[in-house]
Amino acid sequence: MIRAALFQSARCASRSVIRTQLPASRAIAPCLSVPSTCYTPTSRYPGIRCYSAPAGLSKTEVEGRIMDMLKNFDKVKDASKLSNTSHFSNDLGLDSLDTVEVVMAIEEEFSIEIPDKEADGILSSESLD
Amino acid sequence: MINPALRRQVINIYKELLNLGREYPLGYEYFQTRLHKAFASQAGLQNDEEIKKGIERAEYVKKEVEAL
Repeated sequence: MIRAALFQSARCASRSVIRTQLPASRAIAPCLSVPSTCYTPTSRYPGIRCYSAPAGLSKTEVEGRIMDMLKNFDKVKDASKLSNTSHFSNDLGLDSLDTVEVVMAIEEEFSIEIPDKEADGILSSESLD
Repeated sequence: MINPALRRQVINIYKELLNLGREYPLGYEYFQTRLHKAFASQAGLQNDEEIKKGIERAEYVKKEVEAL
C-alpha cells in the first residue's frame, strides 16, 4: 500500500518535473547549439593506455631473473656451479621432482603456463630460453 | 620413465599436491620435503600396475590434504 502510494507520487513528481523542464530546455537549446558546433573533440580520451604495447622482456633480464630464482632455490647445493649452461641433474644435483618444482617456480615468476611437453624438455638452464 | 603417459600423470599429481601444500598447517617447507621424499622413495617402480597404485595413493593423499 505504502509502496504503491510512493510510486504514484514519485511518478507524478517526475512528470511535473519533465513538464516544467521541457520549455526551459527548448529555450536554452538555441543558445547551446552555437558553441556545440565550434567544439572539436581533439583529445577525447587523453588517459588511454595500450596494455598490449610491445614491452617484452629482454633475454638478459629473463636470464637474470631465472638465475636469481635458482640461487634462492634451496636444493641447489653450490651456487658456484650455477651458470647459463648448467644442467639441473648433472651439475646442480637436482632430481626430476626438483626440476618440476623449478618449472613451477618459473611459471609463477613470469606468470605463464608451461605446457607439459615443453616442461619435459627443460633439463638445464640453457634450455630455458 | 617407461610409460610417458604415466610419467606425466605422476608429475601432474606432484604439481597438484605441491599447490595444495601451500596452505598446509605445518608450513609449505615441511610439506614439500616430505612430499619429495615420498615421491623419491617410489622412483624405482618399474611395473605399470605398481605405478598406477602409487598414483591412486597420491590421489588419496590429495583428498586428505584437501579435507584439512
